[in-house]
Amino acid sequence: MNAIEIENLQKSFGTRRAVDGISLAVRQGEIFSLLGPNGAGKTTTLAMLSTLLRPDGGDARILGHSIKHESAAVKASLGVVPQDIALYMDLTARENLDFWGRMYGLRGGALRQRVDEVLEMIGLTERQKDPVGKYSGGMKRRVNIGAALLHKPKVIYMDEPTVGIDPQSRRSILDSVVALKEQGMTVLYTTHYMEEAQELSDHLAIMDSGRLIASGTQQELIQLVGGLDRIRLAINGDVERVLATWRTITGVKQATVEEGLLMLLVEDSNQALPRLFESAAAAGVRITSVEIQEPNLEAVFLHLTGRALRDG
Amino acid sequence: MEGTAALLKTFDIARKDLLRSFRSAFLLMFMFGIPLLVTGMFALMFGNLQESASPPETADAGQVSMEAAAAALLDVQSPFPERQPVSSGNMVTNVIGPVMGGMLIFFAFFTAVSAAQTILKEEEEGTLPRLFTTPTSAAAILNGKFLAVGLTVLVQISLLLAASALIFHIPWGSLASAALTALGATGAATGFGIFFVSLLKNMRQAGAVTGGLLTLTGMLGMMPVFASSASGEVSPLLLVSRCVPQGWAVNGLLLGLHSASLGEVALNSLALLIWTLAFLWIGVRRFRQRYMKG
Repeated sequence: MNAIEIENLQKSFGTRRAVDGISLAVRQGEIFSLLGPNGAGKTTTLAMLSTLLRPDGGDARILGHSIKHESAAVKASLGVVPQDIALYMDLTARENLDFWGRMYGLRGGALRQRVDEVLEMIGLTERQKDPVGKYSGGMKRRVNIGAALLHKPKVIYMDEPTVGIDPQSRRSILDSVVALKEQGMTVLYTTHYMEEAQELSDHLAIMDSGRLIASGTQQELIQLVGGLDRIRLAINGDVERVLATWRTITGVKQATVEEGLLMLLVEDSNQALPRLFESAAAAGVRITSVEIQEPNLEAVFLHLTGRALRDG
Repeated sequence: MEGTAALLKTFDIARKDLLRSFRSAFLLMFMFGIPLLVTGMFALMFGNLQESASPPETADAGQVSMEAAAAALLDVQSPFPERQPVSSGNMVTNVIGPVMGGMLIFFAFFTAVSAAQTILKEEEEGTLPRLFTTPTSAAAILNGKFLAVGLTVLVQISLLLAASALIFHIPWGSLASAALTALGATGAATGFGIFFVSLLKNMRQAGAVTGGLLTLTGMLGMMPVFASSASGEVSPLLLVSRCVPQGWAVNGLLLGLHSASLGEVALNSLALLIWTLAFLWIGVRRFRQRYMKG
C-alpha cells in the first residue's frame, strides 16, 4: 500500500513554475528520497505535501487523505522536519519538545513520557535543561528532528536534515533515519547529497527545474546510463597510440582523451583493468595513476540533465 | 471537543510566549527597569522623595487606593491607606505621578509592539511555518499570539502601577478606577501592537519604523504629563494628545491621580475600548488574511 500518492502536483510563483506536474508514489515503511540540486523544487513539493502551500493543480494523498480537502487529517498523521532549524533558542530542549508535543495534542503524563523517550532517542537527556541556543549545530538538528517524532507519526518528511553539520552528527542523523524506517515509519527525505540518497533510499526520484526527471530504485536509475564503469588513467607515453590499442580490448566500450587523461567506459572494471595493464606493458607504456568510478546517481543526473548535481 | 483542544493550544502558545518574554533580562529591564529608573531620577531631581511622599492629612472614606491594594498584595503596611487629596503643590501627584504614568504608557506600547513582532520574528525563524504543519488551526495559533501580547502588557502595567505605588507612593486613585484604566490601556496597547505589526512585511521593515513611530506617538500621548505638572490644567493644544491612544491611556492615569470620579475614568476607558476595537478589527483581519487564506 502507498503512504503517499502524488498526482500531477503543480505550483508556480509568478511566471516561474516551481513544481511542474510531478507524480509519484511512496510505499508504506520505505525511505524515499527526492534528489536534486538547490532550486529543483524539493522544498516547495514538501511544503505542498505539508499543506503549507496550496497546489495550483493536482493533488496528493497522505495515508489516503487529500492535502487539498483534508488538511487536518494530513497534519495529524505527519511529522515534518524543516530544512532550517525551527526551534525556540531561548527555551531548553525539554521545553521545546514539551511545547511541540502539545501542538500535536499530547498532554499530561503521556506527554512527559514521550518527551523523555524522544530525549533519550536523540541522545540529549543529560543536556535537556540547557537552552537550545547553546547547543552545537548537530545537537540542534537532533532536537529539530525529535520535535517531529513526539506524536509517533506514520509518515515523516525530512527536508535536507544534514545541511551544514559535522560528519559525526551527520552519521548520527542518517542512522536515526534508518531507525525510523525500522520502526515502521515512511520517510520522505529530500537531499542534494547523492551519497545520502544512495545510502538511505529504497526508492528515489530525481528532480530538476520543478520536474521529476527519473524515479525508481537506485539500480533502475543507474541502468539509465547503461551500467558502465568509468576508468580514468594517466600514462607515461604516446597517448594516441595506446588509445587505439585499448579500443580493441574486450569490454572497453568507449575510450577518449580528456584534459590529457584517458577516459574509458568499460562493462566491468575488474575484468578490464588487468588487460589494460598487460597491453600497456607490451607497448612499453607506464600507467602512473588509475581512478575507477562505478556508475552512480551523479552520473545519472549528468546523463539526464547535462549538468553535475552540485552545479545547481 | 475540538474547540477545547484549540483553546488549550491557544493557551499553550500564549504561555510559551510569556515564558520567553519574562525570561529575557533585556526585556525585563525594558519593561520595568527603565520606567521606574526614569521616574526615580525625576523624584530625585524634583525634591526630597521622602518629604514629597509624606502621608496626607485628608482622605475619602470608603475608597480603597491602588497603593493599599498593592501593599495588601505584598503583605506590607502601606504608608497611604487611603486616597491622597488633590494638591497643586504636591510633588507626587503633580510631577512624579504624571512622569511615572507617561513612562508606564510609553513603555507599555513599546512592549505591545515588541510582543506582536514575535509573529514576524517567528515567521522568519521558521517556527511559525512549523506551527502551521501541526494539527493546530491557524486561528488558535494567531489567538495564542494575540493573547500573549495582551497578557504581557497587562502584567507590565499592573506590576508598574503596584511598584510605583509602593516605591514612589503614587496614589493611582481607587482600585476600581486604576483597574479600569489598566484594562483600557492594556487593550489599546495590545490593539495598537497587533494593528501596527499587521502593516509590516518583515522584521527589517519593523526595525526601520518602529522606534520612530512609537517615540512620536508616545511623546504626543505624554503631552498632558508635562502640561498638568506645569499648570494643573490641560490646554487646548494638548487635545492633540487625544489623536493617539497613548494620550487617552495617560489621561486615564492622570484622572486617577487627581481623584476623578469613577464615571470620568470609565468614560475615558470607553474611549480606550473604542481604540482597542478599531485596532483589533483591522489588525486581526489583516493577520487572518495573511495566514488563513489557504
